[in-house]
Amino acid sequence: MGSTETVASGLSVASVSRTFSVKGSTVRALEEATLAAPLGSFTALIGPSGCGKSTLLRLLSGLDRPDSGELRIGDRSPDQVRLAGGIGIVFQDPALLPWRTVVGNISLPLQVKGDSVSEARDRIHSLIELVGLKGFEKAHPGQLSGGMRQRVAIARALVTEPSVLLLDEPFGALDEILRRTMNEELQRIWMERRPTAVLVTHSVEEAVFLADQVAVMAKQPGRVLDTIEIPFERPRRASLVRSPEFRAVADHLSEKLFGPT
Amino acid sequence: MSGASERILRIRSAIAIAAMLAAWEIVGRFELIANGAFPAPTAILSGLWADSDLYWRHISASVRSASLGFVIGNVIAVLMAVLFVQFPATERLMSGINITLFAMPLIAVVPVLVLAFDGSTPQVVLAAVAVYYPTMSSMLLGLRNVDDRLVDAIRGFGGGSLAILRRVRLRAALPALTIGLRTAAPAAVLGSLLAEFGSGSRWGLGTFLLGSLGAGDPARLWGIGLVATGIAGVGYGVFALVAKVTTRQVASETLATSPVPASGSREEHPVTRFLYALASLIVALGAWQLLLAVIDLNPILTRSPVGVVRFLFTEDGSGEARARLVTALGETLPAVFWGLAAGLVAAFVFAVVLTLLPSVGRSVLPFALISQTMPLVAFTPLIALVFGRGAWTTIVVTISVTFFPSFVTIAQGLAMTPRRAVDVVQIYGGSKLTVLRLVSVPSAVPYLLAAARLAAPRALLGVMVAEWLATGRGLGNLLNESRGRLDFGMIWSVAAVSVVVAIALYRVFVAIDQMVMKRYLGG
Ligand SMILES: Nc1ncnc2c1ncn2[C@@H]1O[C@H](COP(=O)(O)OP(=O)(O)OP(=O)(O)O)[C@@H](O)[C@H]1O
Ligand SMILES: [Mg+2]
Repeated sequence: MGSTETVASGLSVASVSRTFSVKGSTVRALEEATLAAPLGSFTALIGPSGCGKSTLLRLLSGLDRPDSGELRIGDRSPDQVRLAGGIGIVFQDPALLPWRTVVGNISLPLQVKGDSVSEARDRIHSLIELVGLKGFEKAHPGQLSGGMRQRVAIARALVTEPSVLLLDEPFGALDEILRRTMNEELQRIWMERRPTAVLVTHSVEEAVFLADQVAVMAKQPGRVLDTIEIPFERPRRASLVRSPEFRAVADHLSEKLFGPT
Repeated sequence: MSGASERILRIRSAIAIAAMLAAWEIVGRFELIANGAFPAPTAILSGLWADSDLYWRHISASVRSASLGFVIGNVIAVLMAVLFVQFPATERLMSGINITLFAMPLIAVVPVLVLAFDGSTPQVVLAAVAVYYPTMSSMLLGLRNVDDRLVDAIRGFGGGSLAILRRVRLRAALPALTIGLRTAAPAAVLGSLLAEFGSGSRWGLGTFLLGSLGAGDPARLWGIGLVATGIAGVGYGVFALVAKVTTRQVASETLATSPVPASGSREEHPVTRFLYALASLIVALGAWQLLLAVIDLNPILTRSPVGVVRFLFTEDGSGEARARLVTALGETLPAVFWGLAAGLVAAFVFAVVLTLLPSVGRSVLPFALISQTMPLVAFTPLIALVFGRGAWTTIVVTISVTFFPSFVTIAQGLAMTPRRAVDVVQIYGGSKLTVLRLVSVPSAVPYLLAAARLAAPRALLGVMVAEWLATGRGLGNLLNESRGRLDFGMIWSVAAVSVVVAIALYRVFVAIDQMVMKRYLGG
């Protein structure tokens, strides 16, 4: 992993810039941002609020286009991958449709793509099991806790078996205990199919626990400062967080983020 | 959006308006539609100019009674809202009266008011009645909608509910109050106008309108309609400015909310709930009886609740009276149903289509907002000119009074379509139509239901006004006829039955709403 050939077939962001103009003033959300991730790898984006993490994720999803620079996923553009149904995304808020049940929400991407929902029934049910929501198939989002809703959103992102999984602070609203559990679950889910994953997070610990590499970003203008490789074996266990090696990597990352103390 | 595209948009809508006026002028000059039911704008203006003295006297009479009613109704509304918030049980006891004032077709009580009061008093009273509900409900919402922590803080300093009212609630309710007043201002104009139907007043725009019915002068009917719209619009505009000053945050532009919040199903023992409902009914009937005692009229002219029941069931000729009432109901209710259905469907389709054409939508919404405040019933005679004196006129009037408020409610609901949910659909290559089908339309359903609840009473009012003025059928006509025949028992009975029908209609929509929402969000 990490050799130049796999990068070429992975995900690449080359000198990408994106500015927004709001009431006359311009915001340089991203300027010359550069990033590469091998196929099947897990990348975390970390940085201060407003440094363009969500913007970068939207660009990778093909929902938005850069002003300059290029994004590739393998040999295709994000838009091509998106239209082929190759992208799954989880937003910070679960963005579920309140009038649909858990099963209905997870089926939504299939319906949009025009795929048969009935043929995918087994897959939907195994996904529900995977995210630990067995027994809640018929529940509406209003009847679920915040953590459960987020797991529905994850299942929804996985239902099309995407080759690229984008996660924008998916656990931002959860408490620390649930967050750790969800981190482990996410690793397990990800390891089953190994989509190329990009996770936006504010938590150093979450980034180090989940990622193969962490991209540290800075703001004004938004850019990628540095990427750090995370060497730990998988599957990583919860106890890893307390090990001196983990702490050393996390401290190193914190230093990059906040400057030396 | 940039300033440039905003300007282009404005220029474009200015061109559209100019083109429309030009087309109208041509249609009017050559009497292209319905034998001159659309006189040219210049003809309308010159009519206004030629009769400006006449207009002026009618306008000042209407403005005077509308303003007086506006002040009286609002003072009562504010006091009641304060009472309700300080003593919540009073709100439930008064709920029968509140729902009546919300749902009642104003025109139904006009003959009763004319019997009971002289001079311009009926206009003042009906204007006051018309403003009560919008102001009271907004004020109540404002008084209730305060930061709990502030309330706790005052409690912490040893303050009671009076201190909380004084220090927190009254201040916090100011923006909501001004928004209520904004809705109430055009309502006052409508109330004072309708109260002139069948009154002996010499001056007032309603009198003017009725007096011009036979004159065969469409320019005059247009003139009156436009002037009434102008007055209502000025009232709305003044309080919109005040509201803008008092509200920092953007407020929604919908008309009065409904008396029962959709989610307001409190956990309560059914017996308690039943007792409260019974009590509120008794309070409402008691208020009727009390009013009769206060105005102290010749008993021949008045009917108490028991009197109405007697008139319809036990007195001589009650069978015949009942039959006439049932026939009228049989004519009115289908018209209400079809007009309401058509108005709602049109509003829904229009709102949904406009989400696909956002730039058109942005230029249409201001017009829709203004038309909400128009006393549309003032255009009934014109609609009758175009569509004749049959069922079509009733339907068109009903559509026009229900379409705009429903459209605004639904369009605002659609505008709140969760952005992220739209993203989710687009991620998988969903087109705009797919977004519409899977996200926008379903998320507009609650707003459609809310619109139906608000529009139902208006539909009944529209149908009755059309019946009174144009078609000679149904409850509206029965009311007008009974007035002419001095059939006092029937006047009171029609008023009472109209109110009951309006409340029943409203209740049906609340029930549908609760049922649908339960399925929609999972029970
Ligand atoms: N659609 C938009 N229109 C205008 N400005 C935008 C838009 N999207 C993002 N921005 C601006 O771009 C900058 C970067 O935003 P972005 O949402 O990418 O930050 P972020 O790193 O995700 O922040 P956070 O951690 O708070 O979520 C911000 O200053 C934001 O205001
Ligand atoms: Mg973000």
